[in-house]
Amino acid sequence: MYPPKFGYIRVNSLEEAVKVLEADENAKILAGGQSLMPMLKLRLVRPSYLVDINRVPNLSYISIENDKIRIGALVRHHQVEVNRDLWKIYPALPETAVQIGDPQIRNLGTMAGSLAHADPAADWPATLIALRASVKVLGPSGTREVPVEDFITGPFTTVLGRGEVLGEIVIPRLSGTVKSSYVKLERKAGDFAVVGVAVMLKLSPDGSVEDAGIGITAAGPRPFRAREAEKALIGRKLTDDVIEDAAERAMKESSPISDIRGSAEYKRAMVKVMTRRAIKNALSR
Amino acid sequence: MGMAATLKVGPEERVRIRVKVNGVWYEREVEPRKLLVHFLREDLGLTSVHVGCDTGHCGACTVIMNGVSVKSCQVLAVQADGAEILTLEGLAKDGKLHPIQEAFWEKHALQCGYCTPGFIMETYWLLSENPPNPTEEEIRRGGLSGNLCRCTGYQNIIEAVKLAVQRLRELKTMQ
Repeated sequence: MYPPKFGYIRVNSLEEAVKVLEADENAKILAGGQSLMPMLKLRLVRPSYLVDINRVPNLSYISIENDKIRIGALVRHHQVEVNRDLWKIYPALPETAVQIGDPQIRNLGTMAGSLAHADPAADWPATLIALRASVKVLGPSGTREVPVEDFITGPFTTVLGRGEVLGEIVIPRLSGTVKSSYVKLERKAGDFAVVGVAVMLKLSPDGSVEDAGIGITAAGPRPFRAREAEKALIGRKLTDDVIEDAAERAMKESSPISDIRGSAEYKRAMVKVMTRRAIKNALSR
Repeated sequence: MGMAATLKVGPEERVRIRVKVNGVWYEREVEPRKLLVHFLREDLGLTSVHVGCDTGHCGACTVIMNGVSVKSCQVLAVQADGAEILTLEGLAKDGKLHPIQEAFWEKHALQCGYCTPGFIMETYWLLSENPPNPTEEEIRRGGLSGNLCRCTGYQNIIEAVKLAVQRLRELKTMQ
């Protein structure tokens, strides 16, 4: 299969990419390209130009600071997978990375590209929502920061306006005892999630939950934060009953559709199971 | 390379690329939409790089690009401009098979052979990435989960990778 004809622009900075995208609304960014290439071959997208950002210097950083982690626009899934510090700080991040696609895809695919592509079954949004991450958006009129929760507005749809590109992902670091996990139900290795649930728990010294984040993917038109489930955990000690209550609420907050990966009813039931597992898995760390 | 001037090529134009494949630099003109797999097969005649599913699932087109394994049907040829590529043709040295190739042969890790070059190149990356001693789980999940074989059922392929790990370790201790 051959992609349709398109032009090619190789840029040296994101500012340059912004200029191209502002002038031509049919131009499209090429980062890892692991979702874009199949879509081109199937003619689902017909860009005028591909704007290749892969040669832009200094975008492949994972910067671990005292109060936040910054992830550059060209960080590949594999970089997250093998980052030992991230395994210690937020194991949910590398745990998400290893469950994306397959090794070859993880060698090229990027976290930022996955967010901008906004597949409703993508893995990263669940985890980044649970960790309260935001994205830095560069555009013709400057820079703005948008929470990941608000960044994706629907299937393959984001708040990115004309000429805007995703520059960086910012993940706040919480102090104290913080645990996290991402649990994915998949039909076969490398597939998109049937349902995916990420959990972040900040525990006080007496073991009760001070703060909780729950992000869910593939269970609605867009990845979402399960606020009611979070509330059921905050201020409580994580007994089986409390966990069950939160999982039940997460299920009620979900609105999956029936597709090749399962019926809506099945997926709803799995939201409950995966939420329970994600909480228990985070706690066991 | 990172600081090279902006390049702009129109949809009807061709772009001159330079790619180092199996140690040799090649210069060719390609359409921006040309996939790396077609460049390697049709322009350079490297037919070990197989087109299997053409949708990024099967891994038969796996090659090493700048040190990491990629599916060459998921990369544009123009993206490989300036890159170093290794295909199966570049593995054997002085008429002697690479230890990974030998291991696949000895363990009979193939039936029809169509997926084999992709499996061998992915194994090459796995063993360059994780030299010590990948567990069977690491070989399956972290290594070969992006390569499909429709004949053998994978058992002999896993055995071959384990044997290759052992051989490469022995070679290292000898050096």
